[in-house]
Amino acid sequence: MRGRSLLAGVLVGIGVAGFVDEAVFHQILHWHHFYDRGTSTAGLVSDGWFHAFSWLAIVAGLFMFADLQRRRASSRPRVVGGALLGWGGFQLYDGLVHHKVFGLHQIRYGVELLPYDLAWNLAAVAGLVAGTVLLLRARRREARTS
Amino acid sequence: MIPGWLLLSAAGALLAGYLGAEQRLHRRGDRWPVSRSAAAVGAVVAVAAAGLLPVRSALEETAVHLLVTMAAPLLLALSAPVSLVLRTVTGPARAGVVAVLHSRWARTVTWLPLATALEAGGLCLYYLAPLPHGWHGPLTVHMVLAGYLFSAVLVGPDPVPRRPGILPCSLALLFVFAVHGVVAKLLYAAGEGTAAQLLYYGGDVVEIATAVALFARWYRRSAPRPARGPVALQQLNPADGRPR
Repeated sequence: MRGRSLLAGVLVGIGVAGFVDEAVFHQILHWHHFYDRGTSTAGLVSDGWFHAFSWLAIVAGLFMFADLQRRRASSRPRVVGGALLGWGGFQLYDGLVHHKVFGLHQIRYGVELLPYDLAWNLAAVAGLVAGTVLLLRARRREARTS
Repeated sequence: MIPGWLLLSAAGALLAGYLGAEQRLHRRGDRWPVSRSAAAVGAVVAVAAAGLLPVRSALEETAVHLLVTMAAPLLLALSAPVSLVLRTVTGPARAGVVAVLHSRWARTVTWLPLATALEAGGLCLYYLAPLPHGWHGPLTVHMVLAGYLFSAVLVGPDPVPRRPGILPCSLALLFVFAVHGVVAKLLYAAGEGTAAQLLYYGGDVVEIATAVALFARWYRRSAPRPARGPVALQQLNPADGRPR
Protein backbone atom coordinates (compact mmCIF):
# COMPACT_ATOMS: atom_id res chain seq x y z
CA MET A 1 0.00 0.00 0.00
CA ARG A 2 3.04 2.31 0.32
CA GLY A 3 3.59 2.19 -3.43
CA ARG A 4 -0.07 3.00 -3.95
CA SER A 5 0.10 6.04 -1.67
CA LEU A 6 3.05 7.33 -3.68
CA LEU A 7 1.29 6.65 -7.00
CA ALA A 8 -1.95 8.31 -5.83
CA GLY A 9 0.09 11.34 -4.71
CA VAL A 10 2.03 11.61 -7.98
CA LEU A 11 -1.19 11.37 -10.03
CA VAL A 12 -2.96 14.03 -7.96
CA GLY A 13 0.14 16.25 -8.18
CA ILE A 14 0.26 16.01 -11.98
CA GLY A 15 -3.47 16.68 -12.11
CA VAL A 16 -3.21 19.76 -9.89
CA ALA A 17 -0.37 21.18 -12.03
CA GLY A 18 -2.46 20.67 -15.18
CA PHE A 19 -5.56 22.12 -13.54
CA VAL A 20 -3.76 25.24 -12.23
CA ASP A 21 -2.20 25.76 -15.66
CA GLU A 22 -5.59 25.52 -17.36
CA ALA A 23 -7.77 27.34 -14.79
CA VAL A 24 -5.43 30.06 -13.51
CA PHE A 25 -3.04 30.82 -16.39
CA HIS A 26 -5.36 30.17 -19.35
CA GLN A 27 -8.84 31.05 -18.07
CA ILE A 28 -8.48 33.55 -15.19
CA LEU A 29 -5.30 35.49 -15.94
CA HIS A 30 -5.37 34.95 -19.73
CA TRP A 31 -1.55 34.96 -19.67
CA HIS A 32 -1.20 31.70 -21.62
CA HIS A 33 -2.57 31.62 -25.14
CA PHE A 34 -4.68 28.74 -26.50
CA TYR A 35 -2.33 28.61 -29.45
CA ASP A 36 0.74 30.48 -30.55
CA ARG A 37 1.76 30.94 -34.17
CA GLY A 38 5.17 29.58 -33.23
CA THR A 39 3.69 26.26 -32.13
CA SER A 40 5.03 23.19 -33.92
CA THR A 41 2.87 20.16 -34.63
CA ALA A 42 5.06 18.13 -32.24
CA GLY A 43 4.22 20.73 -29.60
CA LEU A 44 0.48 20.37 -30.22
CA VAL A 45 0.71 16.59 -29.94
CA SER A 46 2.71 16.76 -26.71
CA ASP A 47 0.27 19.33 -25.32
CA GLY A 48 -2.72 17.16 -26.25
CA TRP A 49 -1.24 14.13 -24.49
CA PHE A 50 -0.32 16.05 -21.36
CA HIS A 51 -3.64 17.87 -21.20
CA ALA A 52 -5.50 14.54 -21.39
CA PHE A 53 -3.08 12.82 -19.01
CA SER A 54 -3.35 15.50 -16.33
CA TRP A 55 -7.16 15.30 -16.31
CA LEU A 56 -7.18 11.50 -16.13
CA ALA A 57 -4.44 11.65 -13.48
CA ILE A 58 -6.46 13.83 -11.12
CA VAL A 59 -9.55 11.63 -11.44
CA ALA A 60 -7.56 8.39 -11.04
CA GLY A 61 -5.43 9.80 -8.20
CA LEU A 62 -8.43 11.01 -6.19
CA PHE A 63 -10.27 7.68 -6.55
CA MET A 64 -7.08 5.81 -5.55
CA PHE A 65 -6.69 8.07 -2.53
CA ALA A 66 -10.35 7.49 -1.56
CA ASP A 67 -9.72 3.73 -1.85
CA LEU A 68 -6.66 3.97 0.44
CA GLN A 69 -8.62 6.05 2.94
CA ARG A 70 -11.47 3.55 3.17
CA ARG A 71 -8.91 0.79 3.80
CA ARG A 72 -7.19 3.08 6.34
CA ALA A 73 -3.97 2.33 4.46
CA SER A 74 -2.78 5.72 3.19
CA SER A 75 0.67 6.94 4.15
CA ARG A 76 0.46 10.71 4.44
CA PRO A 77 4.13 11.59 3.79
CA ARG A 78 4.07 9.38 0.69
CA VAL A 79 0.88 10.98 -0.65
CA VAL A 80 2.14 14.53 0.00
CA GLY A 81 5.68 13.75 -1.19
CA GLY A 82 4.33 12.07 -4.31
CA ALA A 83 2.01 15.02 -5.01
CA LEU A 84 4.96 17.45 -4.78
CA LEU A 85 7.01 15.25 -7.13
CA GLY A 86 4.14 14.98 -9.62
CA TRP A 87 3.40 18.70 -9.52
CA GLY A 88 7.08 19.69 -9.82
CA GLY A 89 7.74 17.21 -12.62
CA PHE A 90 4.80 18.35 -14.71
CA GLN A 91 5.53 22.03 -14.05
CA LEU A 92 9.18 21.57 -15.10
CA TYR A 93 8.21 19.63 -18.24
CA ASP A 94 5.68 22.34 -19.12
CA GLY A 95 8.17 25.14 -18.36
CA LEU A 96 11.13 23.68 -20.24
CA VAL A 97 9.77 21.44 -23.01
CA HIS A 98 6.41 23.05 -23.81
CA HIS A 99 7.31 26.70 -23.30
CA LYS A 100 10.93 26.64 -24.47
CA VAL A 101 11.61 23.67 -26.79
CA PHE A 102 8.24 23.44 -28.56
CA GLY A 103 7.33 27.12 -28.15
CA LEU A 104 3.71 26.11 -27.46
CA HIS A 105 3.06 29.46 -25.80
CA GLN A 106 4.94 31.64 -23.35
CA ILE A 107 4.01 32.22 -19.71
CA ARG A 108 2.96 35.79 -20.46
CA TYR A 109 3.05 38.05 -23.47
CA GLY A 110 4.36 41.59 -23.78
CA VAL A 111 6.67 41.42 -20.77
CA GLU A 112 10.30 40.62 -20.00
CA LEU A 113 10.09 36.80 -19.91
CA LEU A 114 13.19 35.85 -17.93
CA PRO A 115 11.84 36.49 -14.39
CA TYR A 116 8.63 34.59 -15.25
CA ASP A 117 10.55 31.63 -16.65
CA LEU A 118 12.89 31.58 -13.64
CA ALA A 119 10.02 31.74 -11.12
CA TRP A 120 8.08 29.03 -13.01
CA ASN A 121 10.94 26.55 -13.27
CA LEU A 122 12.52 27.25 -9.86
CA ALA A 123 9.11 26.66 -8.24
CA ALA A 124 9.02 23.32 -10.07
CA VAL A 125 12.51 22.40 -8.84
CA ALA A 126 11.56 23.42 -5.29
CA GLY A 127 8.55 21.07 -5.51
CA LEU A 128 10.74 18.21 -6.72
CA VAL A 129 13.30 18.78 -3.94
CA ALA A 130 10.64 19.08 -1.21
CA GLY A 131 8.91 15.91 -2.44
CA THR A 132 12.18 13.96 -2.48
CA VAL A 133 13.08 15.14 1.05
CA LEU A 134 9.66 14.12 2.39
CA LEU A 135 9.87 10.67 0.79
CA LEU A 136 13.45 10.04 1.99
CA ARG A 137 12.53 11.13 5.52
CA ALA A 138 9.49 8.82 5.54
CA ARG A 139 11.69 5.94 4.37
CA ARG A 140 14.32 6.58 7.04
CA ARG A 141 11.67 6.80 9.78
CA GLU A 142 10.15 3.48 8.69
CA ALA A 143 13.59 1.84 8.56
CA ARG A 144 14.20 2.96 12.16
CA THR A 145 10.86 1.72 13.51
CA SER A 146 10.83 -1.66 11.77
CA MET B 1 -25.10 16.95 -41.12
CA ILE B 2 -28.17 15.12 -39.85
CA PRO B 3 -31.41 17.15 -40.26
CA GLY B 4 -33.07 18.47 -37.08
CA TRP B 5 -36.39 16.65 -37.57
CA LEU B 6 -34.53 13.33 -37.71
CA LEU B 7 -32.74 14.08 -34.44
CA LEU B 8 -36.02 15.09 -32.77
CA SER B 9 -37.72 11.89 -33.97
CA ALA B 10 -34.79 9.80 -32.71
CA ALA B 11 -35.01 11.54 -29.32
CA GLY B 12 -38.78 10.95 -29.18
CA ALA B 13 -38.44 7.27 -30.14
CA LEU B 14 -35.70 6.72 -27.55
CA LEU B 15 -37.73 8.39 -24.80
CA ALA B 16 -40.93 6.46 -25.63
CA GLY B 17 -39.11 3.13 -25.95
CA TYR B 18 -37.09 3.51 -22.77
CA LEU B 19 -39.92 4.76 -20.58
CA GLY B 20 -42.30 2.15 -22.03
CA ALA B 21 -39.89 -0.69 -21.24
CA GLU B 22 -39.25 0.69 -17.78
CA GLN B 23 -43.01 0.93 -17.16
CA ARG B 24 -43.32 -2.74 -18.06
CA LEU B 25 -40.64 -3.62 -15.48
CA HIS B 26 -42.36 -1.57 -12.80
CA ARG B 27 -45.76 -3.16 -13.51
CA ARG B 28 -44.12 -6.53 -13.00
CA GLY B 29 -42.72 -5.34 -9.68
CA ASP B 30 -39.08 -5.28 -10.86
CA ARG B 31 -36.68 -2.55 -9.89
CA TRP B 32 -34.61 -0.46 -12.31
CA PRO B 33 -31.93 1.94 -11.02
CA VAL B 34 -33.06 5.54 -11.29
CA SER B 35 -29.53 6.59 -12.30
CA ARG B 36 -29.93 4.62 -15.55
CA SER B 37 -33.27 6.30 -16.32
CA ALA B 38 -31.67 9.68 -15.59
CA ALA B 39 -28.86 8.87 -18.06
CA ALA B 40 -31.45 7.91 -20.72
CA VAL B 41 -33.34 11.18 -20.19
CA GLY B 42 -30.01 13.02 -20.44
CA ALA B 43 -29.28 11.36 -23.78
CA VAL B 44 -32.77 12.30 -25.02
CA VAL B 45 -32.28 15.92 -23.91
CA ALA B 46 -28.87 16.09 -25.65
CA VAL B 47 -30.22 14.76 -28.96
CA ALA B 48 -33.37 16.92 -28.80
CA ALA B 49 -31.33 20.04 -28.00
CA ALA B 50 -29.10 19.29 -30.99
CA GLY B 51 -32.23 18.90 -33.16
CA LEU B 52 -33.61 22.27 -32.03
CA LEU B 53 -30.34 24.18 -32.43
CA PRO B 54 -30.18 26.18 -35.67
CA VAL B 55 -27.03 25.34 -37.64
CA ARG B 56 -25.83 28.53 -39.29
CA SER B 57 -22.16 28.62 -38.37
CA ALA B 58 -19.20 26.34 -37.68
CA LEU B 59 -19.66 27.08 -33.95
CA GLU B 60 -23.27 25.82 -33.96
CA GLU B 61 -22.32 22.82 -36.06
CA THR B 62 -19.66 21.93 -33.48
CA ALA B 63 -22.19 22.29 -30.65
CA VAL B 64 -24.61 19.91 -32.43
CA HIS B 65 -21.72 17.57 -33.04
CA LEU B 66 -20.61 17.51 -29.40
CA LEU B 67 -24.16 16.81 -28.22
CA VAL B 68 -24.94 14.07 -30.76
CA THR B 69 -21.64 12.23 -31.18
CA MET B 70 -20.11 12.67 -27.71
CA ALA B 71 -22.57 13.49 -24.92
CA ALA B 72 -25.52 11.39 -26.14
CA PRO B 73 -23.56 8.13 -26.76
CA LEU B 74 -21.95 8.30 -23.29
CA LEU B 75 -25.32 8.91 -21.60
CA LEU B 76 -26.98 6.20 -23.69
CA ALA B 77 -24.30 3.67 -22.71
CA LEU B 78 -24.75 4.62 -19.03
CA SER B 79 -28.49 3.96 -19.33
CA ALA B 80 -27.89 0.21 -19.98
CA PRO B 81 -30.24 -0.15 -22.98
CA VAL B 82 -29.19 -3.73 -23.74
CA SER B 83 -30.03 -4.94 -20.22
CA LEU B 84 -33.37 -3.18 -20.43
CA VAL B 85 -34.18 -4.87 -23.76
CA LEU B 86 -33.13 -8.29 -22.45
CA ARG B 87 -35.39 -7.90 -19.45
CA THR B 88 -38.48 -6.69 -21.27
CA VAL B 89 -38.48 -8.23 -24.75
CA THR B 90 -39.60 -11.86 -25.10
CA GLY B 91 -39.90 -14.55 -27.75
CA PRO B 92 -38.04 -14.57 -31.08
CA ALA B 93 -37.08 -10.88 -30.78
CA ARG B 94 -35.19 -11.64 -27.57
CA ALA B 95 -33.53 -14.66 -29.15
CA GLY B 96 -32.41 -12.42 -32.01
CA VAL B 97 -30.88 -9.89 -29.62
CA VAL B 98 -29.07 -12.66 -27.73
CA ALA B 99 -27.77 -14.11 -31.00
CA VAL B 100 -26.36 -10.71 -32.02
CA LEU B 101 -24.74 -10.25 -28.59
CA HIS B 102 -23.10 -13.67 -28.79
CA SER B 103 -22.01 -13.30 -32.40
CA ARG B 104 -18.41 -13.14 -33.52
CA TRP B 105 -19.19 -9.66 -34.84
CA ALA B 106 -20.19 -8.38 -31.38
CA ARG B 107 -17.05 -9.86 -29.87
CA THR B 108 -14.92 -8.20 -32.54
CA VAL B 109 -16.32 -4.67 -32.25
CA THR B 110 -16.24 -4.72 -28.45
CA TRP B 111 -12.53 -5.62 -28.53
CA LEU B 112 -11.03 -2.55 -26.84
CA PRO B 113 -8.31 -1.67 -29.43
CA LEU B 114 -10.87 -1.86 -32.25
CA ALA B 115 -13.53 0.14 -30.37
CA THR B 116 -10.86 2.77 -29.60
CA ALA B 117 -9.68 2.91 -33.22
CA LEU B 118 -13.26 3.29 -34.51
CA GLU B 119 -13.89 6.16 -32.06
CA ALA B 120 -10.62 8.04 -32.70
CA GLY B 121 -10.65 7.28 -36.44
CA GLY B 122 -14.13 8.74 -36.97
CA LEU B 123 -13.10 11.92 -35.22
CA CYS B 124 -9.91 12.35 -37.27
CA LEU B 125 -11.69 11.63 -40.57
CA TYR B 126 -14.55 14.02 -39.83
CA TYR B 127 -12.40 16.98 -38.90
CA LEU B 128 -9.08 16.50 -40.68
CA ALA B 129 -9.76 14.61 -43.93
CA PRO B 130 -10.94 16.62 -46.94
CA LEU B 131 -14.13 14.58 -47.38
CA PRO B 132 -16.93 15.49 -49.80
CA HIS B 133 -19.86 17.07 -47.96
CA GLY B 134 -22.17 14.10 -48.62
CA TRP B 135 -19.97 11.88 -46.44
CA HIS B 136 -20.53 13.90 -43.30
CA GLY B 137 -24.01 12.48 -42.59
CA PRO B 138 -23.00 8.79 -42.71
CA LEU B 139 -19.79 9.61 -40.82
CA THR B 140 -21.82 11.30 -38.07
CA VAL B 141 -23.88 8.11 -37.74
CA HIS B 142 -20.64 6.12 -37.51
CA MET B 143 -19.40 8.45 -34.76
CA VAL B 144 -22.62 8.04 -32.74
CA LEU B 145 -22.33 4.25 -32.97
CA ALA B 146 -18.58 4.22 -32.29
CA GLY B 147 -19.08 6.60 -29.33
CA TYR B 148 -21.77 4.34 -27.91
CA LEU B 149 -19.62 1.25 -28.40
CA PHE B 150 -16.54 2.85 -26.82
CA SER B 151 -18.55 4.12 -23.81
CA ALA B 152 -20.34 0.78 -23.43
CA VAL B 153 -17.03 -1.11 -23.29
CA LEU B 154 -15.44 1.39 -20.90
CA VAL B 155 -18.20 2.47 -18.52
CA GLY B 156 -21.56 0.96 -19.52
CA PRO B 157 -23.42 -1.23 -17.03
CA ASP B 158 -24.37 -3.60 -19.87
CA PRO B 159 -22.44 -6.88 -19.98
CA VAL B 160 -19.48 -6.84 -22.39
CA PRO B 161 -17.59 -10.00 -23.40
CA ARG B 162 -14.15 -10.07 -21.70
CA ARG B 163 -14.30 -6.52 -20.39
CA PRO B 164 -10.71 -5.28 -20.00
CA GLY B 165 -9.30 -4.13 -16.66
CA ILE B 166 -8.89 -0.59 -15.40
CA LEU B 167 -5.40 -0.06 -16.89
CA PRO B 168 -6.21 -0.88 -20.56
CA CYS B 169 -9.46 1.11 -20.21
CA SER B 170 -7.58 4.14 -18.84
CA LEU B 171 -5.01 3.95 -21.64
CA ALA B 172 -7.77 3.75 -24.28
CA LEU B 173 -9.51 6.78 -22.76
CA LEU B 174 -6.19 8.64 -22.57
CA PHE B 175 -5.60 7.96 -26.27
CA VAL B 176 -9.05 9.17 -27.37
CA PHE B 177 -8.85 12.19 -25.05
CA ALA B 178 -5.42 13.17 -26.42
CA VAL B 179 -6.46 12.68 -30.06
CA HIS B 180 -9.49 14.86 -29.39
CA GLY B 181 -7.37 17.68 -27.95
CA VAL B 182 -4.83 17.51 -30.78
CA VAL B 183 -7.55 17.53 -33.47
CA ALA B 184 -9.18 20.59 -31.87
CA LYS B 185 -5.87 22.47 -31.69
CA LEU B 186 -4.99 21.56 -35.28
CA LEU B 187 -8.38 22.96 -36.34
CA TYR B 188 -7.65 26.11 -34.36
CA ALA B 189 -4.28 26.38 -36.10
CA ALA B 190 -6.14 26.02 -39.43
CA GLY B 191 -8.25 29.09 -38.53
CA GLU B 192 -11.41 27.55 -37.08
CA GLY B 193 -11.27 29.85 -34.03
CA THR B 194 -14.10 29.58 -31.49
CA ALA B 195 -15.56 26.40 -33.04
CA ALA B 196 -12.23 24.63 -32.39
CA GLN B 197 -12.15 25.96 -28.84
CA LEU B 198 -15.68 24.67 -28.22
CA LEU B 199 -14.63 21.28 -29.58
CA TYR B 200 -11.59 21.30 -27.26
CA TYR B 201 -13.35 22.27 -24.03
CA GLY B 202 -16.63 20.48 -24.79
CA GLY B 203 -14.63 17.33 -25.48
CA ASP B 204 -12.85 17.79 -22.14
CA VAL B 205 -16.18 17.82 -20.29
CA VAL B 206 -17.40 14.58 -21.89
CA GLU B 207 -14.04 12.85 -21.48
CA ILE B 208 -13.68 13.85 -17.82
CA ALA B 209 -17.22 12.57 -17.20
CA THR B 210 -16.19 9.27 -18.83
CA ALA B 211 -13.11 9.11 -16.58
CA VAL B 212 -15.22 9.72 -13.46
CA ALA B 213 -17.65 6.96 -14.51
CA LEU B 214 -14.74 4.60 -15.22
CA PHE B 215 -12.99 5.13 -11.90
CA ALA B 216 -16.25 5.21 -9.92
CA ARG B 217 -16.94 1.70 -11.21
CA TRP B 218 -13.42 0.60 -10.29
CA TYR B 219 -13.97 2.09 -6.81
CA ARG B 220 -17.24 0.21 -6.32
CA ARG B 221 -15.84 -3.06 -7.65
CA SER B 222 -12.67 -2.99 -5.55
CA ALA B 223 -14.48 -2.35 -2.27
CA PRO B 224 -12.89 -4.41 0.52
CA ARG B 225 -15.53 -6.96 1.52
CA PRO B 226 -15.99 -8.05 5.10
CA ALA B 227 -15.39 -11.77 5.50
CA ARG B 228 -18.58 -13.77 5.11
CA GLY B 229 -19.88 -17.13 6.23
CA PRO B 230 -17.29 -19.85 6.79
CA VAL B 231 -14.38 -17.39 6.69
CA ALA B 232 -15.95 -15.33 9.48
CA LEU B 233 -16.50 -18.47 11.53
CA GLN B 234 -12.86 -19.50 11.12
CA GLN B 235 -11.83 -16.25 12.70
CA LEU B 236 -13.72 -17.13 15.88
CA ASN B 237 -12.09 -19.14 18.61
CA PRO B 238 -13.88 -22.53 18.63
CA ALA B 239 -13.32 -22.87 22.37
CA ASP B 240 -15.59 -20.00 23.41
CA GLY B 241 -17.04 -18.63 20.14
CA ARG B 242 -15.33 -15.25 20.62
CA PRO B 243 -13.04 -13.58 18.07
CA ARG B 244 -9.49 -14.87 18.29
